[in-house]
Amino acid sequence: MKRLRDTSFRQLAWYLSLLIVAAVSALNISGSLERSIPSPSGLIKPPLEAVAEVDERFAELRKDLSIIHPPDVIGYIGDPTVAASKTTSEVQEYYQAQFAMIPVVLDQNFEAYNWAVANLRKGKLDQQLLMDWEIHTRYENSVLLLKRKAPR
Amino acid sequence: MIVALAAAASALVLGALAVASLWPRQRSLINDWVLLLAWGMGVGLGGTSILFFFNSLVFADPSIPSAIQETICTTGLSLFLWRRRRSKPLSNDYVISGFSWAVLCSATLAFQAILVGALVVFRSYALESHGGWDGWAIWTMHARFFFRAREHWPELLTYSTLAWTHTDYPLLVSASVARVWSFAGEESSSGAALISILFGVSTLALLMVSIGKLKGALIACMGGALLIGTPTFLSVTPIQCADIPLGLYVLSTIAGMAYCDRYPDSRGMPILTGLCAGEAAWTKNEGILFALIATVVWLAVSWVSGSRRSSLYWLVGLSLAMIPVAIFKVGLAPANDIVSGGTWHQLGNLMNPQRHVLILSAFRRDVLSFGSWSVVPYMAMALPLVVGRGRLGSQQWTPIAVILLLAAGYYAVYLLTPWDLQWHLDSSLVRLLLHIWPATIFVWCLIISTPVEAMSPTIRPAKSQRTRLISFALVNASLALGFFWSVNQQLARDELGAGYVKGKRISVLLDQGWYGQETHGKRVWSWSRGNATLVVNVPGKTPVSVNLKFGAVSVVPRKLRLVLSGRVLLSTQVESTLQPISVENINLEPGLNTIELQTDLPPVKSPRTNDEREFGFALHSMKVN
Repeated sequence: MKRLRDTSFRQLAWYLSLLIVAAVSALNISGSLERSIPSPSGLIKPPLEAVAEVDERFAELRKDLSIIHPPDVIGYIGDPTVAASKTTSEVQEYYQAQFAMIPVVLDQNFEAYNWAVANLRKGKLDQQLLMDWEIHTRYENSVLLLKRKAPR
Repeated sequence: MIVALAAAASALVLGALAVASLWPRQRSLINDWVLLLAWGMGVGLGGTSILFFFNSLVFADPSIPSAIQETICTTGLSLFLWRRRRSKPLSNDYVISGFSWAVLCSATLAFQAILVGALVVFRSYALESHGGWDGWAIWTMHARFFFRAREHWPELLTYSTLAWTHTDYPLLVSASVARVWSFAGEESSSGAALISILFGVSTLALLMVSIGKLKGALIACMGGALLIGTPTFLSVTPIQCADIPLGLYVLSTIAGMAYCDRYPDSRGMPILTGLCAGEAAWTKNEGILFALIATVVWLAVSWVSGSRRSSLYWLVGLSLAMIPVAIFKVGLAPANDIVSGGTWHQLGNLMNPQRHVLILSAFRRDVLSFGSWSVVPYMAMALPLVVGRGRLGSQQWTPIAVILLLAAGYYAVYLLTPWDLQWHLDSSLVRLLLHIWPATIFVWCLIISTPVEAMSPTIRPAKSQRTRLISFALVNASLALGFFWSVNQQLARDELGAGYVKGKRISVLLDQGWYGQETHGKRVWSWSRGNATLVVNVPGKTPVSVNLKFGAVSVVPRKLRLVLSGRVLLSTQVESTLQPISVENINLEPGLNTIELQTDLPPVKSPRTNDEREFGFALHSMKVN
């Protein structure tokens, strides 16, 4: 009889312990739901993700450069105002531009190349650069394809 | 998207057939079909990514040869299974024959958890459809290597300017995404997200179904609820990284070990388990460490138990997936940044006490927080172990040894890393813990010693079973309805308030001139930069009349005017303490209505905080009716 009681007690304790696991899981699941944010519905369009926005900005240029096959390297000139802000966003913009432009490889050391892409989100092209470079094509959203005046 | 789904389905079928071919003969394929599918997704994606990788080295468009090879493999495996099915009748060793109340309650929890999990994953995807930083910068980037550079993609690995994208990382995830794109003929973020989400779904399915077969439905549902109750697992699932896929292959290997132990005579199971370990190596560099540890432990256990044949089968499976890893690492990829960064010169760090303290404190911090839990589940998980007084057999010790050795391996890598240790820990430890979490839950489920009735429920009369199942269906339907109602009440990003008028959900959104939505518990507010605008979204085609109730506060007393289409709705004084405001009978046209909020004073800094921002006024917790 005592053994039977022990077994029943153990079984009850076992079920209770699982109930606690279930309760903890339920709390965590509900916390997860509370923290997740729905996107606006209806006519409101969510803002474009940074990566998608850069993809769009570089789409035309990439199409023009798709003749570069197999992959090749061209220079990359970042936005001087972004660079001056001393934030990490200059690196981010470069990475995003590279993501958009693959298989064309962008090198921040642009002086080594005859062609370069200028990614001018806010600022203007440094006038000194125009001594050596000319604007070959001006794309929408301040993306420029530059060509060196005197090829190396 | 349809082609992407078809490509995923084809990988699933191929994987399930491969798993079925290696499945223990004592088990029925028909009874185990859910488990075969759950296991098959990972195996199939791994296998098809390997085929795609080899084809991409030879062909400009690898999609056609890949499709042909996959069809041949699928047909061959189907024929093999058909012949085997006819040659030997199969039976299952364990069948669930009834549903106790405990099982139905836990199934209810798991079912509702799956609903919530699906919603959270969908929301995470909607927020970052191109994936998180690592997702696009590493894994999707490498998929673009395949898709855009075609047969020239290996050349991209040689450019040092692309080293930041970790060109030495294994290619299972990227090749899987590129395969889907190639079949579809175009790039899409949804294709990449589909692959990412499939890995998460397979992890949950494999955990629950494999435990269900080994320990019964009650424990399986508990394991599933614990995994879904890990918010980080849900938020990382759709962001297109390789951490959830690696977690799946670690789980597949650990589960395979448990099934090998249960079916020691099976030749196929060690091959399948070794293959899963190899696919872990094909997923991430950490997977190579895992494959090494799992293999060493398996060989040691096989050696001790005298079953050397199973070691051979394991190595056969492992090598199938390790061939592409070897070709990629030896012939194509640049050296890994940690290994080439002077790891071996860092051997002195093994004895550096400061590094040990730093790593141990990071482990303590992240072990408690990597899941982003509201309640850390470890204490609760310990209770059934204490109450059940379970004994560990070799079935449990082998996977425990693998998991502990993997954690020890990660520890050693941190000791030897040439990078700034604190940065390295902060940027990676959470993800490493996520790799072993599904397998840890699996082992927890294995260790629990269950009362016999929980394992194999008593067979009840059919009528009683039917009543229980109907109750289960009704309870779950009611809970699901309640869940969808409460989810509809949640405010979206940049929503300040929402409410139902004539059955339409009218929402008020922050437009121009705001610092963004801030929340604390259920309170939602936003500070303006000065004059600002709100947008009221009215769905449908008919105008509505609404009332707005909200709180307003300002750093300094100022006037506030609400103007809709040139008509002043309200003009009031806003003080530095929160005051209730009500605007009634606002007539709104269907579509978007812009309400201008005009103030007479410029924004100012708050004297009570160090915040550098200048504030106009704040609107709090808006109610719409």
